[in-house]
Amino acid sequence: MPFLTIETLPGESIQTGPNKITPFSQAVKLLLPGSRGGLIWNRPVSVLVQGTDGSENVLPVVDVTRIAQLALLGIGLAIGILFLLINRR
Amino acid sequence: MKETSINPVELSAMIEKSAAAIVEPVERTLEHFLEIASVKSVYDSPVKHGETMIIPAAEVLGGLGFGMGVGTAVGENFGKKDKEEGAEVEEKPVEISQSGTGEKAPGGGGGGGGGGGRVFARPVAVIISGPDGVRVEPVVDATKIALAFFTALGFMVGMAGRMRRPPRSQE
Repeated sequence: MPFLTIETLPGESIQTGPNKITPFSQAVKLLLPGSRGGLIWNRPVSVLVQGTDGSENVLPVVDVTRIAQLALLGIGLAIGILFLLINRR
Repeated sequence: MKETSINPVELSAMIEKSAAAIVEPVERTLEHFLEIASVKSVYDSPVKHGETMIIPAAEVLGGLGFGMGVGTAVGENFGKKDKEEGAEVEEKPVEISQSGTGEKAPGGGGGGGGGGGRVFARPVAVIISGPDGVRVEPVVDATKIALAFFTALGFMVGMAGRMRRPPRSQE
């Protein structure tokens, strides 16, 4: 079994009215050698919507909380570094 | 005191058997752990309400670790005294006390193992399918965002405070 694997997997399709929904998830697997354990991070990535007329539409699943957290972390770090640079002058 | 003799070969077979008994539940747990990498662990079963259908989607993060060891004391001291005295070394059966008095047995072995793990799950979005089409609504965790905001604010205030402090005089 490989040490690190990243794979996008489709789920079971669900028929809802005229649309057929297929969810997709991305799993990051980090397994220690010798069945000693590991780390798995699985998250939803997108949803494929297929209409009866043959149209296909991919809707991304956006993690707003994660984006907001990273943005705040980035802003905080940027302003902190800016303060540090101003203080040195 | 009743004493029984066990051959080292039998002892190592016993240890191997006990090791297999440890490995089996570990492998079973690992198999269950790997199941969280499937799509079913991210998307829950759909919930129908009238003409609307809702599919909850969550992010799953799991970590697991095991450790185990098996050893025997037979190999270390078995026949050591005979070697030191220059006598001929021959394999003797290991004597294990079964008296239950807590006396040290001349030879023995054992194994042990342990492990731990944790799985976190967090709602990310909800897929809503209704008469007006399919849409993905994000699930916003205001508490986490507020915590991140106050952490960033605290860092900025701390840096600003350091700026205002007069520089240390060098003497």
